[in-house]
Amino acid sequence: MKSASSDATGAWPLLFSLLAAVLLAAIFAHAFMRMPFPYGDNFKEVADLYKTPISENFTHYFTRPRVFFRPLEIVWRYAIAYGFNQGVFGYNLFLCALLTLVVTTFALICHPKDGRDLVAFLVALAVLTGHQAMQGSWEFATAISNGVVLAAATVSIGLIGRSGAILQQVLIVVLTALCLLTKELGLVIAGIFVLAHLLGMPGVRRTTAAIIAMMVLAYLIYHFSNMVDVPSASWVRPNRASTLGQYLSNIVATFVQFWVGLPFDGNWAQWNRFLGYPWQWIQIGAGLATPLFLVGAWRLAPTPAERATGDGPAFDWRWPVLFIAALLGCSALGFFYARHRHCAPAVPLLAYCTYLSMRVLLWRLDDIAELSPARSSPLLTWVTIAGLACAVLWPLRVVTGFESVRYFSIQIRKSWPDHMTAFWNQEPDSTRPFLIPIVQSVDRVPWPRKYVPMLQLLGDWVKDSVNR
Amino acid sequence: MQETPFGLRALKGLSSKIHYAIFALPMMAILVLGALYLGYCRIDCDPLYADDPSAAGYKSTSATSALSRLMPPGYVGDKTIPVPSQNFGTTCLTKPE
Repeated sequence: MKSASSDATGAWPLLFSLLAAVLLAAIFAHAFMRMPFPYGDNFKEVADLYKTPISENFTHYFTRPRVFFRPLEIVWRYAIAYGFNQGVFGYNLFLCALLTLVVTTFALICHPKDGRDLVAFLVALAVLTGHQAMQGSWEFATAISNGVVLAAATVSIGLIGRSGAILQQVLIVVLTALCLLTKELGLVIAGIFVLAHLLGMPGVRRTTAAIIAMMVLAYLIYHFSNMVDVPSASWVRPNRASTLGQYLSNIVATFVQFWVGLPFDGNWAQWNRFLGYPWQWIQIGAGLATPLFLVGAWRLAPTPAERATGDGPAFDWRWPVLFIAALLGCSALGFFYARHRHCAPAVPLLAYCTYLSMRVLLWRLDDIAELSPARSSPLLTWVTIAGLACAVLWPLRVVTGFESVRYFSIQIRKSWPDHMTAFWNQEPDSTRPFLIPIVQSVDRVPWPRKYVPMLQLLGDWVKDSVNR
Repeated sequence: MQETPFGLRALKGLSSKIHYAIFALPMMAILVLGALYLGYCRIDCDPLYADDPSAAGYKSTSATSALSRLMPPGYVGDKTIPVPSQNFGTTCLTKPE
């Protein structure tokens, strides 16, 4: 059963997918470049790097007690400040570069070869950029932690799926080290590499998996031996968990948030906070349709016999397993406090599984008149409905993400002049002089664009579609 | 040949390209509208979030002006943080005070 889709092949699907990815990055870049540096969000760290040598900053970092172990954040800050050469707004440029890297890498990994693949890629691209965990990484201070790990998670898909060459193994080890030293979520990437080897995937060799396991062990020993007591560390910020019950609550809340966006702040009392708004219905609808779609498509995947006699798309069950493992790992690491962004490393795998599943569905619909007896069930109807829901709702979540960035920019832009007196009074004499160039830079940032009336259909508080 | 599953009979007569268009249309529409939005922003040189900032609740639109009212006379800030020389190449740079 050869479908029409395979007749038209060539380079154009890949070129078109790259074009779509770059266009989407450009649209978001337009919003990113209008998002000023928020006061209070790492202001001291930003000021410090201009007056402190990197070696001194590192020494100070390693000699003080801490809850989080993220030494590479310091390196990223210096790289951004001096590499992008636009003062604090190097972060905006960095964010644009990071998103472009993620979406183009994802296009290259999917590598659409025909019209069917291309359509599946477009839906998967919407999942990748429309997910609130991705959008929660688009913030001044989280781009250098969550954003970097998310980009690494995207690259890791390409590495796991390839042949397992020596250079590839080196890249996997380097990527693991980069993730572990950037944020605790890097543990998820390390775990995914090891699990991929255990599942027999071609990209990760046994030696590489063993090296990664030892790196993780060394990381955990060092981290826990130098960490302050976590239960007593709720002083870091308010609303942090400090008991076993609170840890478990946050873990479950992080998992649930990944799908439906609620409960806000991991606070179960706020499970219904935005239920009255259409944007939340979209978020919940997409979040419920996607797992149904993935499970259904898994069941509809072509049998070996169908693949042998036709052009049925490959569907490797190990990718959904990796995704589930990544999601559970991210949820577990959300034990301290629950935010959308904590599941960022699982988003590229979700998008990739959506890509594989959408190819299966479209292939089944190609051959709708020739269904095999085993698969001609109402399941296909339900998977089609769930797939259509994904195809419609995830692009709308892309829109709500854009709107949240735009509105967030407004809030920051507005807060600087309105609260300047408070900012000035809060700063000690040593950092006050840094307010001047930063404030001048804030005024250099163009204002976000006019409100688009059509977006009123999404309802109020769209900015809270992302729990920062 | 099997009977077409319930609920999918409408799709049976359509070519695969129509199936694809149905699934691709929402994301394609977002990309096209987004591109048009970028074009509109390049043409329309009113960069304000609202037509009237004060009506939108802004006491002031310039952080530099607000800061200058707080600084003692002759106060010099730190010069090590570079200030962008331009607004990242956007055409709509100037915002009325």
